[in-house]
Amino acid sequence: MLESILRAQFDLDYAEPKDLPVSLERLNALLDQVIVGTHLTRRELLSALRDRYKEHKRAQLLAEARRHTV
Amino acid sequence: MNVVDSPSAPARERWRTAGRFADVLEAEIKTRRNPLVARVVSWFNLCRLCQDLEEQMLLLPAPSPDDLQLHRSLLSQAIAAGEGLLLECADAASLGSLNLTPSALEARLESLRITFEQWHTEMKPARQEAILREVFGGET
Repeated sequence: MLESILRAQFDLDYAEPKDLPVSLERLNALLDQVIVGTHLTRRELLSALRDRYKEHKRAQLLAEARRHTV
Repeated sequence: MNVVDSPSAPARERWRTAGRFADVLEAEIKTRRNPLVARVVSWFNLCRLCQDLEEQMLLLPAPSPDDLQLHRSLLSQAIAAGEGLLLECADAASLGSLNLTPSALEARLESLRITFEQWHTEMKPARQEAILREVFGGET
């Protein structure tokens, strides 16, 4: 589930404008699934995921850069 | 060049240029005599600039305080400008020629706010760890 959330945030970051609402809904749905029964908000969880998300995004960017240099 | 090398002087100059370009875009967005759709396109370009800077910072071993300050400033500009535009998009058909609805702006704004929070607010490591343990247990 953690990976799914990271991927969903990445998809939101890079979504085409017309696809943004669906991407946000997908991210919110995943967040809601995991915070149910806690006192956390979506934003608090994303804030706690800051380092994981930066690692994830960096890895995606490096992979993309390598694909372009091969 | 290795993508994680420190940025060269030309790269830093490009970032400074990006800051100036952001100011130009912000002025276009705020100029109400420009058509709304043109201002919305400029805003999405401003968002793209924020994304470009974030990508550059992620590829560095550690972003400098100047980089972080520029990123914070660009994000703040984009969030404020987007909130202003959204107020003018009360009519859902106003962005029809772009094949967009105001919900696209709302979603991009939310994404900018998330980015701002992740990069430019504090969270104590113990709190961060506690949240991740509570939500994901052993998955992290």
